[in-house]
Amino acid sequence: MTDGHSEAETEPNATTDSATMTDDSEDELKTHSAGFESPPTGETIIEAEDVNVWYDDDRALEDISMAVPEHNVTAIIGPSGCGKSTFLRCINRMNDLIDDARVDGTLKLAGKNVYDEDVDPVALRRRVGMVFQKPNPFPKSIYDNVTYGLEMQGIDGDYDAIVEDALREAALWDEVSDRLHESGLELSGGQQQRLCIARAIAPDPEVLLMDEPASALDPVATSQIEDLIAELAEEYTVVIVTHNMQQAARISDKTAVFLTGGKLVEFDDTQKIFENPEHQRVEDYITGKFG
Amino acid sequence: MATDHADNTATVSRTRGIVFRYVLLVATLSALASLGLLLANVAVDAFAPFSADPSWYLVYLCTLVLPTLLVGWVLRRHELLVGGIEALFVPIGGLFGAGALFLLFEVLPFNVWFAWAVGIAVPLAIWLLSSVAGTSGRLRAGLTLIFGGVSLFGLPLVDVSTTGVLGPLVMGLPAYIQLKVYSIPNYYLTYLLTLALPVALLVGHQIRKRESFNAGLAATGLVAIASLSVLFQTVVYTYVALVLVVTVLVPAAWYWYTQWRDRPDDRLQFAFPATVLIGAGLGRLAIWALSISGPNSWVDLQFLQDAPTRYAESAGLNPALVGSLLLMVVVIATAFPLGVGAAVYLEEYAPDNGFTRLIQLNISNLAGVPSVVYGLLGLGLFINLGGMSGETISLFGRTITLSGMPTGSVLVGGLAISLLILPIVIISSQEAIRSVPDSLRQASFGMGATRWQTVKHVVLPRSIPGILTGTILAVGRAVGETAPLIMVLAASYSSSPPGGLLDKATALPLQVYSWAFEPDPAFRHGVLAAGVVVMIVVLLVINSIAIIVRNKYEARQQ
Ligand SMILES: Nc1ncnc2c1ncn2[C@@H]1O[C@H](COP(=O)(O)OP(=O)(O)OP(=O)(O)O)[C@@H](O)[C@H]1O
Ligand SMILES: [Mg+2]
Repeated sequence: MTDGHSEAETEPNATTDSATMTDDSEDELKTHSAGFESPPTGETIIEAEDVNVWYDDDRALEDISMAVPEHNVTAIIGPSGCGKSTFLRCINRMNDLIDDARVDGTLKLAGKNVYDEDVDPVALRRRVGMVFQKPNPFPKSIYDNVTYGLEMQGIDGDYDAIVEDALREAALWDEVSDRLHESGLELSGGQQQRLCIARAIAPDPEVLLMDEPASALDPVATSQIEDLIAELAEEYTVVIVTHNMQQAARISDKTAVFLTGGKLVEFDDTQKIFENPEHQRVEDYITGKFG
Repeated sequence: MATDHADNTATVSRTRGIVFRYVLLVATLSALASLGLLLANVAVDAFAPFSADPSWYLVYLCTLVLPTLLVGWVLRRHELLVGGIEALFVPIGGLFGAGALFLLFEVLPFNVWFAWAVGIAVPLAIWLLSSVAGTSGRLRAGLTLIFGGVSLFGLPLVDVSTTGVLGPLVMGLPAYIQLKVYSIPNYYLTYLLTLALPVALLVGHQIRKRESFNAGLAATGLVAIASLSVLFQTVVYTYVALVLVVTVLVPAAWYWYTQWRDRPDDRLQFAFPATVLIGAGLGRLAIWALSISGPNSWVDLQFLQDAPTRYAESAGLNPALVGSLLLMVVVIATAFPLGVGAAVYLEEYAPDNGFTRLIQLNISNLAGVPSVVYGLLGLGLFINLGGMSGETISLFGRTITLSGMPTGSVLVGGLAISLLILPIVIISSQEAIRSVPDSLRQASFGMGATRWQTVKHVVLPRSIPGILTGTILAVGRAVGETAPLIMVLAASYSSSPPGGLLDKATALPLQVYSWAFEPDPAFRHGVLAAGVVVMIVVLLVINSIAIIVRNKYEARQQ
């Protein structure tokens, strides 16, 4: 972080440190988008301020501050073990389920700190959907998989229509429309992952968290999922963890680079990160000099 | 020199390996052989095979054994033998079901049965009607609960002495019918209404779902015709024949029909049950026509139907069978919910702290406590504390009047055994729950499900086969368990079947145990061996249920 500092100071229109830019992220966004062919911007929806996570006594995240704009795809990249998944799990409080995980700092979703006393993690997870690294459909029918969230959240409505919409949005409808009542486990890996995406978007969350959703898939399935994510961003805010640099470059509007030790080193427009990063280490990481 | 050395070691380890292998083989074989000898001995005592006329064996050899072997061999070459055996086991399993049902009828007099059936029919009808009317799930559940409660248990806090038109409303239908309704339909009509009718409707509904409305109607009609046709035979009581139709004929026909339709390539497998059933029938007919005497077996229908007497010839173990069945009911009703509940709590809810680990350690250790200790516990907890009715003790300066559980009742025995298998049920359920992949829980929580929803919709459905298998095996162990029963039940030896949970009772292992001390050798050999055979068969049935449950769910989850 310190060696990045000196570089940052030489750049006139950049903030001094990624950790300090959260308060006026609005302005910040505009400054950066000015030079590029206007990447979509929006209101800040997720705002992390000095988020720290410990597993027992090991610090997995150190003072993370970043602001994720609405209706954008934000990618999180970084070497293995740097805390990307941990950060993602902070947003929908899945870390609560890990016994020895401890979180401090504030993390606001639409202005409300999700770690406040009066926030029910169950209610929070109904607003923030999640797709996991390994496809994990329930051992139920395709239909029941998609309606699971609706049923658990007590959402009424025309389930048939919702299922069709969600599956269409997840680009799976054509492949499964004639076998909705067969087990979700009978699908291929890529289809399963798209089913998981359909399942996550069926209850219409505000934010969609994706933890390396394509890492277990072949190139064709991966590109299907990538196209899908680009479309999803029109309706949802997507935060996606990926190991694949090209993927981040292709699909995201903003990119956060975490480096070892659980630090957020740089957070900026994707184009900027990939063409002209401010920190030498980020450039080294992106060009594959270390990682 | 180096190669020499290598060769040497190779030979040494090889001879050692061979010796070790054969020692193990001999040990296993001798253990199996001694067990086999014991069982053969018991079988000879129980069935008295040498008392039969040799031509009896000849007849069955020709009609049953040889054809079965032949057909079995042919089917094996087509890999259809397993299917054939399964097809045969459905009616045989139905026979066991019928047996259990008859034992239940002994405990529940048919007027009680009728009364409760009417009481249950009301909420069932409400539920069906409201689901046809398309009401929401919550309203339907509420209606069913309210009407079901009133129908079964009446209105609380209302003077029970009220009779007349409001009687059923106040007392609940079952109580009212038992008290006030004197003209109850006879056995046949009762079981026709309460067993055959629901089964006929269910079969029709299933067939209609799979095929067409007319097929469903035809299926219902067939069951109805079979149920009515038992009126035109005089071999057994009509109600017995009716129960056999419902438990043996209908399931077998159902299974055979679905197999026949779904596996057109495997239809040859029906040769197996056909050969066995027709062969047995033909043999029986031939023996009856030639009046050949069969073996004078101790295990026969009379043995299952009669109470123990002082004469070996007429002794039976019906009360013990009924007692064991009721014990099983108590054990399942208490150990299953408690055990599964504890397992769910420990696996899904309990924080990982010292206290939880202490409980866990204790449960593991309790599983290893000798069963006599549980007998003592039952004695101390349920009998000495509860049994001395009306007695008072003083505790912390207060006087407490003991209300009491009757000594040696089914309830007390069942609770003692329940304590005994509770740790086993908990541990096996925990293992089943632990085997549910964490990624599924994560997925569920990630979808905004609460912990209870996750348990109910994801964890339990995945782990229920394992839980059921473990529980059924534990119940099997409980049925054979003797020590706690000796302590709790022996004092109250009873020679008539229990009429309810608070009645005195005996159980299979106790009955067998007491026969071992009869002076008459006919008891010590014949009757005792017959009792052992019945007990082993009961255990085998229970274990096969466990296996069937597991296989069925495993096939479904793939
Ligand atoms: N459940 C846990 N218990 C204890 N430590 C954990 C747990 N999960 C993660 N950690 C630790 O936290 C650090 C960050 O882990 P995390 O899974 O967030 O990394 P990641 O960036 O997602 O890595 P990858 O790219 O390999 O998925 C690691 O050092 C890891 O060992
Ligand atoms: Mg990760």
